[in-house]
This record gives sequence, structure tokens and C-alpha cells, in this order.
Amino acid sequence: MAKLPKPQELTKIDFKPPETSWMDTPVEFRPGTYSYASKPESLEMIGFPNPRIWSPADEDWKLPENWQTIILDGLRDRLQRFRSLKVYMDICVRCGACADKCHFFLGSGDPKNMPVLRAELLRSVYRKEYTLAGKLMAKMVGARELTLPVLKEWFYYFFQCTECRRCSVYCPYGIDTAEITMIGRELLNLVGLSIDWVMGPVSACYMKGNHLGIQPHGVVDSFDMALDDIEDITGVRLDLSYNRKGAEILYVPPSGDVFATPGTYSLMGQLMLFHEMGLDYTLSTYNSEGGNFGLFTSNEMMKRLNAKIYAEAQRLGVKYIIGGECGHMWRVLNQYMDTMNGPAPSNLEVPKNPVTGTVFENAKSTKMIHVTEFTADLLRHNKVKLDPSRNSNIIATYHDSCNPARAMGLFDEPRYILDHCVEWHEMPEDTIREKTFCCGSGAGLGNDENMEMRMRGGFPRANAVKFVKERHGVNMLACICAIDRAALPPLMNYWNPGVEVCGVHELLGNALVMKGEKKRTENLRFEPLPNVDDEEEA
Amino acid sequence: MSNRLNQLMQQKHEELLKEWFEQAIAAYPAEAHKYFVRVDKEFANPVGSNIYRSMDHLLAELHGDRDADKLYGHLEMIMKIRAVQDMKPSKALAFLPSFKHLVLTTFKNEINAGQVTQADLDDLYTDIDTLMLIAFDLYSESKEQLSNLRIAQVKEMNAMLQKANLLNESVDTSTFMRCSNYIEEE
Repeated sequence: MAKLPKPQELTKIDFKPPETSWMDTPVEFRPGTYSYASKPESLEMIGFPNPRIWSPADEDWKLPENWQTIILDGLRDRLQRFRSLKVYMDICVRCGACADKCHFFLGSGDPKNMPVLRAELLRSVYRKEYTLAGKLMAKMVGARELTLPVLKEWFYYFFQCTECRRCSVYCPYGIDTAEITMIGRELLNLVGLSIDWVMGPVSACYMKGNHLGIQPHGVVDSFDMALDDIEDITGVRLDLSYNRKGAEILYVPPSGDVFATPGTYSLMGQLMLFHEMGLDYTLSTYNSEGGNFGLFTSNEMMKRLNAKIYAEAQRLGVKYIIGGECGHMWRVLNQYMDTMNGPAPSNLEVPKNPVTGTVFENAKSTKMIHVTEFTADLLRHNKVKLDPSRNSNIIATYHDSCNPARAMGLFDEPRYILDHCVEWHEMPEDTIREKTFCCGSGAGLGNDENMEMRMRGGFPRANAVKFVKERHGVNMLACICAIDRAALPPLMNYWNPGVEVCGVHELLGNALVMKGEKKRTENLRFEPLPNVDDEEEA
Repeated sequence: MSNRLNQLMQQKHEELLKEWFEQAIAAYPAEAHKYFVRVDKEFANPVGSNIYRSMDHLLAELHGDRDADKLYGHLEMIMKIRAVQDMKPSKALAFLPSFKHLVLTTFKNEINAGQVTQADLDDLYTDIDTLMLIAFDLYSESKEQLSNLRIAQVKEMNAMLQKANLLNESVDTSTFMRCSNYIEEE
């Protein structure tokens, strides 16, 4: 008869360091901690290999017979094509500076979530295949063969990285660990290993121009609904134009803001502002997505999905492009678009604000500016009439969305907008600006089946929000990323109930005083404005 | 609640806390230990610092007033954290009953010398057992909340697709062709 363990024994059982080293400890696919596999039809749509029905929890992943050769050839090819990859494979000295910077490691304690070790999953195979020391003294130099358990480990941990790049901020050698994840995912894709939450949006976007796969007339319907709501709230009917040739500006929002709350409120704020400024802009029903899940798939896929932005700007003959409040979209636009699909079409000019005359020299090459740059410039020149008292029931904080922060250094413009619209408070220093913590759900991990992992990975962010909630009574978390607006509400619901999530332009839309508007009694969420009852009583 | 055992626990608060915290974070992989013990780093080490702070408060209540509401509040964060980590419920809660053993070993001499009465020990043990039950409630509530968040997301996605008339729709390649043709014609 087995004796019951004592509680103090129970704390340690199963959690002693494994008898085997990290290299030989296989992963366990426990529900709640991984994302479902991509569907065959998604892969077929974009011509990706090995479409089939499978599950990460299955023993048999239905791989092609020569899967090792495919991946190793793929790695060799990428080592030749990307000098950065070769450098990243060789220069890490394992100093550990990145070790405790990943939100998934901080939330779990799982050592393979340390960026250094996540990269080591790939480096160990690289050493074995491409270095003399690795071939001769495998174990001693941390080299190992690409076996099925190793491949499963790659899948588990490369889809447990949100490519937020916080670790890269701290790396003294400048290794961008997100790029290692990107290459890892590219290699996995060569044998048909990806997740549904990435490949579904990728194939939908490829076919229909947005991640949800909504057709052009559906896009117009959604904007119409936003216009109806704006009219109900303000009494002002906006007139939008679609695919209009000769417009000065093409506006490209993330589709998440067109179709889902609370992003729609932020979109409404932007449309209201554009109307108020008399902006000559148009929307495209074909280029209805600023986001680009190709970034989470492969360089080639990212390029294919991004191509429509310049193509549509050229077709419509606009002068420049304004992009909406999106996160990863801006990594693609700011860091890759120019190289992938540039130079920008000749009809595009350096963006110039028609209201203030400001020329955005920073966008000289891409010809595309972020909507918060545009709005902050308007505010700087006192071109916008605001009544911040309409937000007086809100005490906000600001979450620097990873990609606009780390991939384009967009720190101050959103803050400048908040300064004009609402009372708000910064989160602690090590959790904002370039050191911001990820929402825990980026890079395609924001699916429902991965909820436990998301709450784990989002805890460092939520912990900082908790601090300002307790200290300042914060009840609103503002951000400039559509994935954030989908991911942060459940995160707040779990860790900080009572804190809601919004886009920066929702708060601006609430405060915006429009010409010809009726007496405003509701905010953009159709909730009563805080100062209305008092005024009526008076 | 000022009995001899409580006085002793209060006197050795730091020592008890250190050992108790060590037992709690023994539940994590060894590689995480050196990061999770840096309890002064509130934002760089959210798991370690929150668990440490909560245990500090719990311990103070255990040798203080043992206020039910406060004990509940201090347990809540630990259980929320553990409900989203790779840990069986028994491991997640084991730090509570292990406190009994910690008290027995820390105050072995005082107990043997009869300074601590059996009644005081029984009283503490009963409260620890109650705390276990409360912790189990909190852990279960957190798991239930996770499940509800999942269901809410599925429902939201469903509603959104329904609104867009996309439910059960197979991929319509003709739309893409129309768009492509349109672009070419233009």
C-alpha cells in the first residue's frame, strides 16, 4: 500500500529539475497551453505544403517522409539568404541578459521560455549540422540532431513566443530573438506545421483582403454600421468614400477595428476626426486590412499580403497613406515594406498634413504615417476642439503596444493625444515605452484554446496595470493595437476586473466637439456621459 | 489571538516567511528559482514578488487576528497565479498544509518544552485546513473564469461571423477572382 505524501513533499514532487537535461526533456501538449493546428483548406488556399487534418496532441503529425531533409535544406537556404540569421546563430554568448525579460518565462518559470533557450532550440540543430565542433562533440557544445521530439519542441515554443521583441532590447549583441522565432516558424511551415489562428487569417487575407475574410460589400456594411452609430450619438452623418480615385489620402485601418469592439469605437473616433478636419481621403474595400499575419508565417507570405497596400495606393492615385491603430502592422510597414515591396509608387509623395502643413519627413521613404502622428500634429497646432470633461469618468493608463513602440519608436504621440483627452497615469518605468510588456496574445496566439497560456504570458503586463489601478484608480487601459484590443479585455477580466480597454482615438472621439453636433449625452459606447446628469439637475 | 504560539510566530516572522516562500517556489523549475527569489523586483518578477507579498500578509494574519476577509484576499492572488501555471491543483495548494510541518520543525524545542499548548496547535491547524478549503474554492473559481473567458471569445467570434454572414461559408474563390479582374481592368 502506497503511503500518502506529506504536503511538504507534495510541493516538490514532479517539480524537481527533470532528470534529463533540457535537450532531452520532451514537451507535453496539455490543453490550454497550445494552439490548434492549421486547417488544410487554409494551406491549400495559399499553396503551402502538406495540407492535412492533424493535431499537436496527436502522436503522428502526418509529416512528409523526408521532413528532416526539407527542414535542414530550408535552414541552409536561409542561412545563405539572411546574414542576420547566421550572425544570430553564432554570436550569442549566453550571458543571460534576456533570460528574465520574456513575459512567458516570467509568468511560467519554464526555462525554455527564456529567449536564450528558445533560440537554443534552433541553434542546437544548427551547430550539429553546420559547425565542425557540433559534428564532432555534439553534447559538449550544445548540438543535437533534428528528431521528432525536437521538432515538436520547436512547434510548442515557437508558437509560445509573441515576437514582441522585448528580449532584443536587453541583448548586448543586438540579437533579435523574434527573428529566430520567425525563421523557426518559416521552417515549420515547410512541412505543414502551423496554427489555425495564423493560417486562417493569412488565407482569408490573401483571398479577400482582410483577416476575417469579409468580402467588399461586408466591409462597406460594417463602416455603415459605424456611421449609423456616430449619427445616433452626435447627430452628424459622415460621408465615406470607397475606392475613390484621386483622393489625397488612402486610409488603411486594421480590420479588427472595423469588425469588433472595442476597436470599432476607436475607428469611429478616427472617422469623426477625419470628417471634422475635412480630410480628402478614401477607404479601400480590397485593401481592407492593415494587419499582416504573414509576419507570423514567413517572409514571403508577409510580402505577398503587404503588396496590396502600395498596389491599391497606386491604383487609386493617392498622395500618401495613413495607417490605423494597429500593432504588428507597423512592424511590417516601418521595417519591411520599403525593402519588400518598395520603392513606393511614384504617385505617392512625402506625407503632408493638409490642415497644418506639417511635412512628415520621417515617412519620406514609406509615404505612410501612423494615425496618432497625424492626430498629435493636429492637436499641436490647436486644430481640434475638445471637451475632455466627457471622459471625466475615465482614469486611463497607456499600454505601449509592442510593435509601434519597439519597431518604430512611437512613444509620445499617443501620450500627447491622451494628455488632451483624459486624466491618465503612466505604469512603472520598466514596463512602458521600449520596455513595454506584451499582452501575451500577439503573433497569432490570441485564440481561445490558448487561454491559460495567454493569462500566464499577460501577467507581467496585468501586474503593472494592477499597480496603477490600486494607486490611481485606473479603470481604462488605452492602447494603439487591434490585437491588444482583442487580447487585453479577457486579460483585464482575469487579473484586474473593472479595467476596460480602448483605443486612443475612442477617447478623442468622445471628447471631440464637432460642427453641427447635437447635445452629446452618450459616449461612443452608448454609455451615458458623466457630466450629463449633473447639468440636467442644475 | 495572542497565545504563545502566535507570539513565537510573530518573533520568527522573517525566518518562517523565508522558509515557507522557499517551499512555495520549489514548485517551479530549478532554472526559475534565481529569478523568482528576487522578491523586491515587483515588476521584473511578478510571480515571485506577488507570491512573496501575499505570503507575508498571510503569515501576519496567521499570527495576528486571522481575519477571514483579509486571509481570503491574500490567498486570492496566489491562487489566480497558480491556476494559469503548469501545476496540478495538489501542487498549487501544497504550500498551505506544509506550513503545519514548518511550524512543528521551527518550534520543536518550544513544543517539547510545553511552551506551546496542543490547543494552540490544534487551533492553528484547524485554520490552516479552512484556508486550504478557501484556496481550493479560489483555485476552482479561477479555472472556471478561464473557461468562461474561452466561451465568451467563441461566442463573440461567432456573433461577429454571423453578422458578416460568414458562418458555414466555404471559401469563395470567385470573389477573389472578381477583385483581381477588377484591379486588372482598372
